Amino acid sequence: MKDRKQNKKILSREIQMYFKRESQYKGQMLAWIIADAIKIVGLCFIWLAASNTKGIGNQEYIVSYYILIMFVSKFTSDFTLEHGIRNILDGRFSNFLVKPYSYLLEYLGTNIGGNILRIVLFLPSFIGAIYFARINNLWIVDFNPYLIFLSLIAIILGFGISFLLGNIVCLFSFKIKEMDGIRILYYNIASLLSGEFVPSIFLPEIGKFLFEVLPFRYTLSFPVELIIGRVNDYEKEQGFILGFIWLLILFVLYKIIYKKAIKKYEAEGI
Amino acid sequence: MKPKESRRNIIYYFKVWRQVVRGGLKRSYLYKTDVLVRVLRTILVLGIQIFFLSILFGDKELYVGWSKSEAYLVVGIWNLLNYLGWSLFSTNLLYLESKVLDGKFDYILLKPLSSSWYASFSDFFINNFITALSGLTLIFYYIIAEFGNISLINILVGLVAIFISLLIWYSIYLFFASFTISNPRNGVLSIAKELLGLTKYPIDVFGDNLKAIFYTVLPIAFLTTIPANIIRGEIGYGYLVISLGIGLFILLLAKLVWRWNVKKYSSASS
Repeated sequence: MKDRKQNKKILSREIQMYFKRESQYKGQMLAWIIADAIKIVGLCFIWLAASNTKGIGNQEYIVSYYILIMFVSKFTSDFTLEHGIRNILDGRFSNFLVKPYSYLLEYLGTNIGGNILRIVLFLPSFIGAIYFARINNLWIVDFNPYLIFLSLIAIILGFGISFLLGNIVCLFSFKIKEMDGIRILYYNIASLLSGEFVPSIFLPEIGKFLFEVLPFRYTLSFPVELIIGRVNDYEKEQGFILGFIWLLILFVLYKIIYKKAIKKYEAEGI
Repeated sequence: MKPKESRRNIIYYFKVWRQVVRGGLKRSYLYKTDVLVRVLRTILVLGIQIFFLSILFGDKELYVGWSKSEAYLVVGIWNLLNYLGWSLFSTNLLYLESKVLDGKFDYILLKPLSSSWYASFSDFFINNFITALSGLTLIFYYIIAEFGNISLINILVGLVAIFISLLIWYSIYLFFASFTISNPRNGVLSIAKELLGLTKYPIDVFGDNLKAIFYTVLPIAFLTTIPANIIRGEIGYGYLVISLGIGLFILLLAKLVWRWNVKKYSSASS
């Protein structure tokens, strides 16, 4: 009980520290807002042009889907790979080992802080994109409170899976010293299988099966599918069960790999 | 430092760059697994892009007046520019921030070379060069698919236009990166990344107003759409001269902004 309270306090401090660190760079925040706006404007135009050709169905679904994918990705993103790998390769990971709490707590704080900041900065672009989609009759979401509640649970689940996946990939840097290729390949695979590039409705049967069975879908596409509301009760149940199973599997996997990987740590940079 | 710098001719710079490339190649011998991972990534990137375009086209022949093979050409040019850029200069300019923050930028200023050149080309990343092959694959696919419909002279002039596009791409990157020197962690490179990302599709996607902007104030149409149109034989060779003019102008502007930012630079290590 005491430990849990202390961990909560550490986590809250980490989040606060992240905000203080980042608030030094106000120009960066403005740049992120502009970058997000450019990305979402580009996306809207690309699909608007596609809808004008009237060649494919589900145009409204696709536009709503991509706008929501960008929004949900701000909640479920994991930045561990950006600094975690470097910490191990430079030997800075040693600092975490002498602290009286798990380094995951620190990483979690940084990630939650980063995500909150990005959500806030993304809001103007998100609202603008919804407005743009609405006036072009390409927005199909009516924000049902029950579905929003469900998708919030799915988002928390998705963030947990994404965080554990990132940390597991990070552990490979105890053994492999050149991780850039693996890191980028992981991002590509995760983006493809999470539904960031291609909505599941366009996948062939075998692709759909893989999409549903692997953990990546639950980090992005599943919460978005819930918000849009085109998932039946059976699919909702199945999605949550599979998501929780993956969370559990990844946690156990992380523990096992960490136990083995830490033995190979050489603190090279020190 | 200035008189010495001006005495250095192109051959000298080429010799320095040759050594840089050798260093990059030697690193790839050391990390063979990473090269293999990058090859896999190239195939993945290509697969995702082809799949995405097939969704965008649906069952229609044309998308904003472009056929599927022509859209492959635009994406191919974009891949070539983007990954060649990451291989030659983008990664170096991305790392400029950490060099400024660590005080290592002083060493760049002390070198008997142009600081902007050395900051841009101080390392060569063979792995991104491999991914650039995905661009060549798509360009060759277009040439083979449309062999009877396009002229050889258009292909050759188009290739020159792609080289000029690389100059524009570099100049845009240098322009944005130079602000890092006087004001690190400003996030402006994320704006450049998103802006350049818009050129993955024909500029015709963006409607008349934005199109006018992309041909004049922000001339990103000259990156992929113009070379593709030259190869298609849709526009005259006069655009090549305009492209070159724009490229040289942005390069000059980027160099001026670079010098202005170097004057405002304060070393973190002193």
